Amino acid sequence: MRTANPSENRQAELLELHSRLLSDDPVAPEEIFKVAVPELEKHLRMRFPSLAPGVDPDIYLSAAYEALTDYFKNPGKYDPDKSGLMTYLRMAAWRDLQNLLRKESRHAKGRVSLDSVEFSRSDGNDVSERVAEDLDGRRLIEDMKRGMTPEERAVFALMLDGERSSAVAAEAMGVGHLPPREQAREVKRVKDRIKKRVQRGGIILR
Amino acid sequence: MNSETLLKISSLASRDDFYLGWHLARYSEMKGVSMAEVSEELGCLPEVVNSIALCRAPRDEPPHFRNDIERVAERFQVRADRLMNMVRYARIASGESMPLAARDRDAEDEESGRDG
Repeated sequence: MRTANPSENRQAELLELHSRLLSDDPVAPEEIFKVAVPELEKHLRMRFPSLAPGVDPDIYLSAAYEALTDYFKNPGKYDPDKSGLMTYLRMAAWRDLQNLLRKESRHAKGRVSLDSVEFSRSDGNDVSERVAEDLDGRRLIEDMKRGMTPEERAVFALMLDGERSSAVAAEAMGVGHLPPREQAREVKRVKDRIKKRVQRGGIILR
Repeated sequence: MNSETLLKISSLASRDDFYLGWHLARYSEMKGVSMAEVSEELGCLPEVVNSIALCRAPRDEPPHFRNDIERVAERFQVRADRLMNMVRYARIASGESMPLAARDRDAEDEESGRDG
């Protein structure tokens, strides 16, 4: 008679805990925490070993905690026929870590409240924005400008001033001689690139 | 899980009323007692309270409420009556309503001197 290997034993143990969770055993979360947290924390540390300076190293634990809490509250979302429980939890914890890192990154950048930036469209070309005049915001804007081409910088400056006219932007770009339809297309192309840069810079677009 | 990690995780659990940790933390705050005193009341070591904190809070309905408390008390060898009082205190003091039947039945138990 074949004896189960350690991995099979472990899977059986986890399935038993899962089944107790489904049957509302109030102690099951505590037992699952004790089995899963060290493993999830180790997995996350290996997968994402380098945290940015200033990021709380307990972020791995927080991600593991959030993944497990979500699982405890919705145990039915886990389908044992599709994957092992630990695989499911690892994936959930990884997603939670990414979310926490994104939040942390926004926070670290001073979280320029781009209440500030609003992209409104009427004819498909009209983009306007106002950027909060706080120190972090200005610093972030200067950083972004450094990576821009001259035409992007010119249009970005107009956008920051609240200038909505495509014709004015086209003049600033040096394409004022083109027919209006082509001007609009060129302006939109540059504004789209700026929009992407702004989003990558961690600014929230509303 | 080492004791430092356990402490950190139970501290996270104390922010979510899904966990018993939330109830124990509210009880400790509102009664003005330390977690060491909470463990003393329950009749266990302080680190055991960190484990209890990771259990799911009892369901509201009367039969489940008592059963859940007793299950946790049995697992950690703590006094069920004290744990029940702490949960009830935390819920009522936090403005959470408890089903009347659960309160009545608990009150009867107290009067009859049952320790759980």
